[in-house]
Amino acid sequence: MKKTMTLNLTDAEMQVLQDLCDKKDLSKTAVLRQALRLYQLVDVRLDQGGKLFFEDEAKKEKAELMVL
Amino acid sequence: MKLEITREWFVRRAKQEGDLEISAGRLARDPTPDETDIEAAVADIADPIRMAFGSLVETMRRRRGLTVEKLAERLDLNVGDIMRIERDAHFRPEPRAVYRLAETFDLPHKALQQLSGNTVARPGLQEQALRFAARSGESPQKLSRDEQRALEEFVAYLQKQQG
Amino acid sequence: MTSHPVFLTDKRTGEPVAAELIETISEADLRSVETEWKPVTVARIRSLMAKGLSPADWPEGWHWKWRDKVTAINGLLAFQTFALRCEGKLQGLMQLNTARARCRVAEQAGKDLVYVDYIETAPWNRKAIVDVPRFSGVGTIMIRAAIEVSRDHELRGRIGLHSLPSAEAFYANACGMTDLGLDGTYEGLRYFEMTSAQADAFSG
Repeated sequence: MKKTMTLNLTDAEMQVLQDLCDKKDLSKTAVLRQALRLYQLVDVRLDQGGKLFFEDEAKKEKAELMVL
Repeated sequence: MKLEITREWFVRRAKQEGDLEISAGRLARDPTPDETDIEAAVADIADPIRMAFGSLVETMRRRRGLTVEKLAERLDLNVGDIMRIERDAHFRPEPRAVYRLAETFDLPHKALQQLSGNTVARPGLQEQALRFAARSGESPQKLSRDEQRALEEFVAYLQKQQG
Repeated sequence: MTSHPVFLTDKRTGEPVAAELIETISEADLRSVETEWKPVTVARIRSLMAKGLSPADWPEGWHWKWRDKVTAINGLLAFQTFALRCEGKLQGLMQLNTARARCRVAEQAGKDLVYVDYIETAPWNRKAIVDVPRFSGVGTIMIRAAIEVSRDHELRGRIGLHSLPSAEAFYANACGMTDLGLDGTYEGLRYFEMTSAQADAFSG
């Protein structure tokens, strides 16, 4: 049961979307659906009090990624 | 998602699977088992047997026409503990309390310690315990004929095990 | 809830029988785990305990709590669960994760895959628990489903998982997956990955 919607993106956003599609060999729909899954997951975890980090294994450094 | 599985495909592939194990995923085994984790998990497993223990104590008490207070008095235990023994499957009574219960109700000691979760149960006990727990009732009045019979059969089984 | 007609092998006759793959684990399934699966596993463990065997020798995955797993992912799009039923009883469960990992196999490194968080068959289907398994083929059906989910997400059938030690033969040989060795970051479990080509071969 799929629904269709129209999306308004800026040129820059459109370019990023296209780049991701090329890099990951995915359609625009697939990229955006994956983005939605990740966004929800991050959002829920943040609500639960978690923090989102990127860890640099080599430098043993952690940089917090703030998601508003 | 479209999933079209033909009988032919399945027969061909399933033959390769045969009787092989297929479990995948983490926390499936503890490389260094944490004592408390194992205890908690085993306690979880012991539930059906522990439930039978509670039912047995309650049934024996009612058969003697005793209130919880009276039994607590007789065993020199507190009322809360008796109630927890009878109703709370997660509450593990002290071996001392179980000993007193065995004495008072004239039940085989070893079997009762197994039922209480203090010692490892012999095979076969779980099935009998489940059967007994299922037949035990909830009413505070005297035991029905069925409950009486269920109790007698279970106690006979426990006594036989003692030997 | 979407369901798909599939098969399992009835070990009594050796013949395939009709089964149902349902695209979400329901409360009824969780109840089945508690009332149908657990007693069988528990009985086996108690007999092993009576023989003096320690938890290290108990059937792998014996303490998994599917209710906890399902509760943790409730409502999250990134996860997908499946239940397999046959003869009115629950035969298998699987949890998939589409947001977890990227491929490690060289030829597809950096590309996304569908990761199998957990997969389990009913205790009466396992030789580790009963002397005579009842049904076989749960693994085959579940892996096929995982591949299909991967294709549905345009990931071309790529999947990955960490196998329990006793199940390594199934993933290496029956599924033909690539063995990437023991994973120190994941309880030392062996990590397997299926390439697109392997997925095509498996489902062909």
